[in-house]
Formats: sequence, structure tokens, C-alpha cells
Amino acid sequence: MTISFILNGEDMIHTAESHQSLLSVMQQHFTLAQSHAPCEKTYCQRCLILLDNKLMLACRVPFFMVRRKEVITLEGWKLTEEYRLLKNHMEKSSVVFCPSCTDLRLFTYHSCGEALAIGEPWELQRLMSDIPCRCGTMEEVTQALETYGDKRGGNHVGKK
Amino acid sequence: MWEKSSSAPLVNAPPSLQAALNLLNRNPNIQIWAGGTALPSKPADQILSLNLVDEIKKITPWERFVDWGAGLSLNQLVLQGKNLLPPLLLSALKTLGNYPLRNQGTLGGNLCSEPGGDLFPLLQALGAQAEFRSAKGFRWEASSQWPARGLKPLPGEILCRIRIPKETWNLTLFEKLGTHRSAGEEQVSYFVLARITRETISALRMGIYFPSAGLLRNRALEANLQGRKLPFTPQDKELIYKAWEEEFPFLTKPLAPFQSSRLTSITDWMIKQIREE
Repeated sequence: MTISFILNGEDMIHTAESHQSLLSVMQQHFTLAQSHAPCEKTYCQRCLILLDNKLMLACRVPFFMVRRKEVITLEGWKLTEEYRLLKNHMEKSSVVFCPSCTDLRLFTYHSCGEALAIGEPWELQRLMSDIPCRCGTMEEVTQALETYGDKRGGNHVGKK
Repeated sequence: MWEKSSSAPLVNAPPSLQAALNLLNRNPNIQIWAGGTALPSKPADQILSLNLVDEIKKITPWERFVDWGAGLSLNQLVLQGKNLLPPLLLSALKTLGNYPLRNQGTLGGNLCSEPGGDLFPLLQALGAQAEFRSAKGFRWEASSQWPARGLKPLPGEILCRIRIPKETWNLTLFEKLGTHRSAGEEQVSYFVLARITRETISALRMGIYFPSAGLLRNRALEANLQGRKLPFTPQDKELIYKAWEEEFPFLTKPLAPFQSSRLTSITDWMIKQIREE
């Protein structure tokens, strides 16, 4: 099937099998999400995307679902000002930057503002722990994000 | 997603519920697609995507109950209906899958999956009703008539709404052991809903749900414990254990030894919580 959608700010018209996952389409045709081999079982969270501003897993999104929608991948989000600010803050907070998970944690944090604003104080911790990694930097990333939320006034965990 | 060898299905995405029902009436075997978190092993020839159907994504509060659209995503339930959701459901919703999965998974999908998702026994306990619509009309199914392992729409039907009564409980407890990454047997959730006045139980609903085996809930026990003074006596405790044993034959699979030992400790914990309340 041929559908139109927006990928990282660019209009796309693309043809693929309707039941193919968005992840495989991105990997095969757009050279995106290449840096890792996702589990395709929703566990690893290495294929996070924003579909119409909602955080989803590309391995579970069939191609037909992106029709007339906007897709932002991690690669696309890394070109934004928000990412630059977050990364600067991580560097200032002396967080050891794990190439496998830190970007994903920042992407998750950026995408879950609404949930964090109305959530419990431990909501951020839970979101971060959903992304499995053996690097052991989860605690320091979470702490740095908490201070980032305090400074910016947005994404303030646990504040109604 | 699906096996690469399978042929691509034809996807229909009607813009309204009536169009979806008409399509379903013409082809009752079409595969209904809402969130898509639980994929069937093989795709059907045709898929009916409900993504564009807004009628099933509404929250309608009434005086004595709230109607929840079956197409609402699990995160939409939390974010949009936070003030209307029973606390039991709110705490359960946050334990389902992970955040991106909850953006995709829908209320209807959780209830219609085989076996029913974690919300299924809770909605049964809350006395919910499900509305199914077809091109010929609609029907309501009360939770007492729900099948044991998830809702089953008849051919040509779509689950459209879930009606949850507004009731207040002074003890609400929901806990889940294991995550979506755990093996099926390692997952267990349990709940207690109780109304306690002057140390007397005026209403009680409690259950333990093993997704791999089924729900342990004994309505006779709940009726039996109504009017009891707290704290529970050792005889009451015995009564509860016995009630669980009575339910064992209705489980789809016998409990593994570690599940039985969990059952004992969970029951103790539930009793302790009720007593402390």
C-alpha cells in the first residue's frame, strides 16, 4: 500500500506492505533505527518513536497506522533544540553518557511531560527503569532530569 | 510483526462507527484492529482498523456511572479520566506494560484479549457493563455474564463502551507481581475492594488473578464475609482459604507449587490490609 506521512518534518509518500512494522520500514528504506537490533517483543524499547506526539514502539506499529500521521524518530529528535538543552544539562551534571540508553531516556522524558506532570513523584523513576540497560547510569540520569525539571518549571515530577 | 511469508492484508479504516459496522456486517470474519499490542499469530485477509472511529474514544460521565469508550488508549484513560476513574483502575492502569505500550493499547483490547488482561477481573469486581454494537442494533452485557477469559464479541459486533458505576469504597487495594516482561506463570495480580463502617464489613470484593490459570474469586465468600466484625478470626481465615480451594477446579491450569505458596502469602497480606483498615 502507498501512504503519505510526515517523517522527521519531511513529507513522505512511501509504498510498503500494509502489515510490515514501521520499524522494518524505517530500517530498510530510511536507514533509521539502524544502530541496534530491537527485540520486537516490546521489552528493549530501542525503537521508540513519536507517532502524532505519542510515544510508541515502532516494532508494534504496522505501516498502515502511520497514514497521514507525523512520525518523529530518535534521530530526528536529536536535531532539535530540546535535545541540545537536555544534553548540555547532562554534561553539566557530569552524567556518564551511555551510547545505548541515555538518548532513549532523554527522548522518553521529553515525550512524557503530561504523564510526569500529573504523576506520582516516582513516575520518572519508573519511566527510566522501563528502559533496560546494564550501564548503571539510570540513577544519575534520573536525578539530573529531576533537577532539569526544577529549573525549567516544566515536566516537574509530582507537581500537580 | 507477522511472518514475512504471509500475504499483505487489505486494510479498511472507516471514518465512523456506522461505516465500520456496515463493513463488519458484510464481512463478519474481518480482523478488528484497535491498538495492536496483542497481535494474532497470522494476519487475516482483511483488517478493520478502528483508529479513525472517534465514537469509541469518548468519556461520558452520568450521575451514577461513567461510560468509557473501548477505543480509548490506556494512557488516555489515565490522563483524561483521572478524576473519574475508580482508584482501583487507576492504580492498575499504571502497572500495565510500559508507557509506550499504554499509548497504543486500548481498554477494549485489554478486555477482549485471550485471556482477559489485568483490567478484566477488576471491571468484573466493579460491576461494569459492556456495550456491543452491530449493524442490527446493540446489547449490554453485565459483568456477571462475562465469560471467564476475556470478552467475546459475537460475529459482526464491536465492543463500544464500558459502563462503570460510581461507587465509593474505603479500602482499595491493587498489587501486581511481575511485569509484562515476566513469564506468564510469574505474573499475578490481586485486588480488594471493601466498604468498612465501624469495624464491620458492609461490602467486600476480593480476587487473585493468575493470567496463566484464571481468576480466583468466590462470590459466596464475599457474601459470607459481609457483616463480619474486624479483625478476622482464625476461622474466617480458614473460610477464605477454603473458598479459594473451591475455585481451583475452575482454573484452566492447576497452580504450580510456587503459585500456591504465593497464594497463601497474598491471602495473608490481603487479610492484614483489611484488618488494618
